[in-house]
Amino acid sequence: MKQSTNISSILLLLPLIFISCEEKTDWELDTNEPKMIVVEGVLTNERKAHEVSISRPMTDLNGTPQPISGALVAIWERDQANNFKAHRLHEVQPGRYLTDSTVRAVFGRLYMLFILYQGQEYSGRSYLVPVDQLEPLRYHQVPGKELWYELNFRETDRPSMVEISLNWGHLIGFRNLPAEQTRARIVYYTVKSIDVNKIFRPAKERVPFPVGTRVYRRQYSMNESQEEFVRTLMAETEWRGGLFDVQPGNVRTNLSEGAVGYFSVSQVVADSSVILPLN
Amino acid sequence: MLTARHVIQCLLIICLGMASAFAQPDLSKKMSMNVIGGRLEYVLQEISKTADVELSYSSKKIDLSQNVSIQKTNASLAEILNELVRQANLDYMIVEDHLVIKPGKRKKQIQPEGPFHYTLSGYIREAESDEVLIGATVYVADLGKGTISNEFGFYSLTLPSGSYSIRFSYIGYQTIRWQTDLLADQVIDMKLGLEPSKLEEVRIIKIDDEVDLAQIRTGNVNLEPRSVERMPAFLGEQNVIKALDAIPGITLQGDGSTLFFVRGGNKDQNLILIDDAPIYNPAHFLGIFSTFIPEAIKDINIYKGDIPAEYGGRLSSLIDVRTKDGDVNRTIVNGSLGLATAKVAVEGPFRKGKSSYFVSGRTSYIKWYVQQYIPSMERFYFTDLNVKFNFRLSPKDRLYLTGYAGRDYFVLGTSTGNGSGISWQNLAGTIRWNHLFSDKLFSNTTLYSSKYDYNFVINVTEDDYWNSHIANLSLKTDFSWFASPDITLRFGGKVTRHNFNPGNMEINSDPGYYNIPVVHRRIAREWTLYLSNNHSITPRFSLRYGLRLGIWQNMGETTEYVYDKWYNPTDTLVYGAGEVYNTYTRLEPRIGMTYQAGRSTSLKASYSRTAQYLQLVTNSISPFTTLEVYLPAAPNIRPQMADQYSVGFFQKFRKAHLDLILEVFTKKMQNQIDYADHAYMLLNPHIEQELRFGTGEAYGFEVLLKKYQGRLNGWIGYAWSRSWRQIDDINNNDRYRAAWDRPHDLSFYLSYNVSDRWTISMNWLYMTGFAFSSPTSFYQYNGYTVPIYEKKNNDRLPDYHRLDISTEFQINQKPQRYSHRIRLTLFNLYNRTNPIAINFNKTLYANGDPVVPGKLYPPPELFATQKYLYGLVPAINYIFTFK
Repeated sequence: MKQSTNISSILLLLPLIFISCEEKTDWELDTNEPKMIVVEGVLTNERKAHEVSISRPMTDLNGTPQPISGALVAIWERDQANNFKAHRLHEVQPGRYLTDSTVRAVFGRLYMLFILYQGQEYSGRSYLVPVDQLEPLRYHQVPGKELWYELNFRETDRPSMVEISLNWGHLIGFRNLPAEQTRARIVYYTVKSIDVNKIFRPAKERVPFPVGTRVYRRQYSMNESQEEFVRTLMAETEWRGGLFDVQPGNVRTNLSEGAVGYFSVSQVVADSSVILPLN
Repeated sequence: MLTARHVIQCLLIICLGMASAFAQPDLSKKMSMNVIGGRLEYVLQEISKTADVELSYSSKKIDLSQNVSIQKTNASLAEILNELVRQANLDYMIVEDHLVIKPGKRKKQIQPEGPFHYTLSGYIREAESDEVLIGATVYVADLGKGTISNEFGFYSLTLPSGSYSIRFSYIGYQTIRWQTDLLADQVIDMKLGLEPSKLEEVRIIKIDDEVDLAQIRTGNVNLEPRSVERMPAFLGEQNVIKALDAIPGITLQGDGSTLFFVRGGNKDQNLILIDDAPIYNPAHFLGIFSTFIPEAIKDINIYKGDIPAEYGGRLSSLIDVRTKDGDVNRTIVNGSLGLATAKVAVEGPFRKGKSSYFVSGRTSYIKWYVQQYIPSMERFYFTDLNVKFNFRLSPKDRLYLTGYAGRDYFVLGTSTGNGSGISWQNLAGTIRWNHLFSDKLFSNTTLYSSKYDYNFVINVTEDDYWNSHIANLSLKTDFSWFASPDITLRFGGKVTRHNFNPGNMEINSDPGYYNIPVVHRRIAREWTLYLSNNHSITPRFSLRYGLRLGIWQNMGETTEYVYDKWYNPTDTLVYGAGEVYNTYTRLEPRIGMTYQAGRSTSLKASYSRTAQYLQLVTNSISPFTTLEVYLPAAPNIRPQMADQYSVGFFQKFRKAHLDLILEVFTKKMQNQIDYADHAYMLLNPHIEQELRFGTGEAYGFEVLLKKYQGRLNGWIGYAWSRSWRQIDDINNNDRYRAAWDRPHDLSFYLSYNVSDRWTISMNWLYMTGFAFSSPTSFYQYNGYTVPIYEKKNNDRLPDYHRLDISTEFQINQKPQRYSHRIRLTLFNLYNRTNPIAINFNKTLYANGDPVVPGKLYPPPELFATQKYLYGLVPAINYIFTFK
């Protein structure tokens, strides 16, 4: 009787054991060297030097982007009275262009990025929307690992990006470790769309950190266009590979002439804290 | 709106008060007789007693004293009568419930008596259960004319007066040759018994004689439910939709999918009917199982092209499923137990020989396994219920009531109060009334309704969910006028009201901090008229031609948007309730011809135009049934159209018991839909902004070689085909291959009867991999590695192939009232990993699982991953029947 029970249990479980799996594979991509440029520009309400980086796409999944030097880069701002003001950016490293440190974005103005490179003019425009206040930082203990924690993420009321830097390199036992093992950068997006691939997105890597970790948070506002950009960015990155995948497609952009990436303008709030033991 | 649920309820109520019928002599009734040199009078008395039939004859006209010899064991009444006819120069005919014996008129040649023509008509049924047989042959060899029974088993054949030997046959059943003097219109209801030696044969197409050869249509396949039962299936769960994969020209998306593509058409271009009512999503458990219970199915007729004019609404195919009526003579219970599901079907008479019922149900118990791993998975099941009632109201009137309900419900954490998940359900109900206006004019009037609901459950307790649905209520009448043996006219009309909910939130708790967009519901009315003629121009050459007129009207209350050429909304139009604001009129000519080049050869060709007024709007590439949205043709979405030309060749190798079918086709499709990159599909009032339109083209050839008789039988099917799209603003306006473009499709099925009790079956499939877009380069943005796609569907998944085997063993040594058998299946025997997707966004987690990177510093190392569903899956099923 016992033997027959065991056999039936095995038969019942076998199908489950064999169903659904994901594994690493060697896949040969038919890549090419595209002529387009990649732009990543962020302008915030903070008075500081803001950066626009320009590079070429890479053909290797884990490659290093090739910076683009020698471009003429400027940000124009237009107020409601149609007054224009230009901010010229200077190349400080290959492919890295900075404004001067007095620039800041304000509400009610339109910001336009212009890039002139090899005779081609690229442009993108954006504007500032308000950001939600930061919610108190929430975290929970990693099951089975005392004094190790993971962050809880809760969506903000309005579309946003939350960037969190964690650092536990100052703690005893971690001081001599390389930065890659004692620091982490995590980004959470709040996108208000309802997408099948978002609902059934694949598992994400968990990021545990010890008690005493320093946490630095920055929350960026996102306007409607940027939210759409992020929705498509997520569809190609964090949401791809789930149960209900959608057709692959290029991430949307606000840049012209075939450039990829995004020029964003955001209001930012920030805080810092230290992870304390939970009761 | 009258929903399918209401219809089913009505059916149940109506049927309880009905029954009436008549009974005719059962010519297939088995009996034994051993008389050597006995008096005819004695023999007739014995026949009357043994077969329990009323015999009428005149002793003045028949010499009852003559001696005859009949030695037959377990022979049908018809066989014994035929022997008697031969020896005593008699003839017989059925008049109401009497068998009339009369003097015979032996004529070698048909001698038409003057200009008179008479009609032979009736129903052809299976002897044991009284189930009508669809596509059975009635053939008069002397004239080289014949016909086949329609979907209700009715036939009608008008012939010159004379004496004929008429052959009634159906594949796998005993052939009955009926001797008759046609001196007046006659009604012959014929019952055919199963041929014991052919019980175990598997066929994919019923072709057994000259009539069928002359009437073969291009792209038409009749899949026998018995062959589906034999095919090895995942978890031993027979699957009608998956079985389509074995037919050249039809490919499934892959493992875990009931999405299929026919001759280069998209997945929403297939019309699936169950007793005339459409089923919008034939999937259970995301697509791993199909909604149809094979035990409830009588007939599956598949049209890949040359779709008859009475059917329409989809571009690429028609899957016409007819359910069993139920045994009118006895109660039968059958069922099965498997690893995933349990099924039971009960059929029997309300009144013996007059009315019957068929009820079948299926439920899954996958939840039990899943809860071992996810205890909070409290509701995780799917169910099916098929109900059918069949009444013979009078010799001229029959009523069929059919209901189907299928539901999937997968919700996590219901007891915690925040359960969420997905669910969907199909409902369908039909009331069909057959009426014989005369023995030449047959009509069928059908009232049917279908509804498909898809829910994304956000919170079970608060009853918050997203819902989309499509529903229809239709009334149609079809007439078949058997004007002569050479001309069969079919005509009729249909009116349908369609309701669409393209996906909306139903929030019963606080909607929270953001406004929920409203996607306007749509209503449409569809009028259809058709006329077609099946014309046998010569005994060898037949022509089928028809015209279908469709009128599609969009009605209020709703809101439509006007868009400019950049897809920006420029105007909003609001329509009141009942207001018709848009009309499309489409004519669909259909023509097909068959030339019988010899006794075993036929050539065929067809052209058909089809129109489609509704579409599944989804940019999913998942093999599973996703959160689905249907949209009607409307001012922003023109009806899809297709023109298909096909040419075919059929050759029967009688000695080798082989059939060879070759077909070539080409298909052009207009107003095909694709989507902007990352189209926003759910809760988008401007969903039309995301649609892109263009043309499609498909072409290819198909070969099917099948062995239909003997201990070893089966088939090899191969199709080579291509499918292309050219859509505005997609792929730089260049032509690209459709995702379902799979040039090579090979299927190989074999069944071997080791003994009367033991059968082994195997199935091997090979297909070119599904096309998909792979990145041609990447860029970095905020720490993310973002793919760039330059060409659509530039890459392919690895080729798909799989071998399955199953063996079935009858436990009973001899037929008994309770018979049972056991089936073992090894699905994917050589453990092939057939990927359903390739991704480029995963990193390796500490436990070795591929995951999406959680931290962007340090930069994660990414690699390509492949996702697949099944390895080797063994299964065991226990099947029983109690009569």
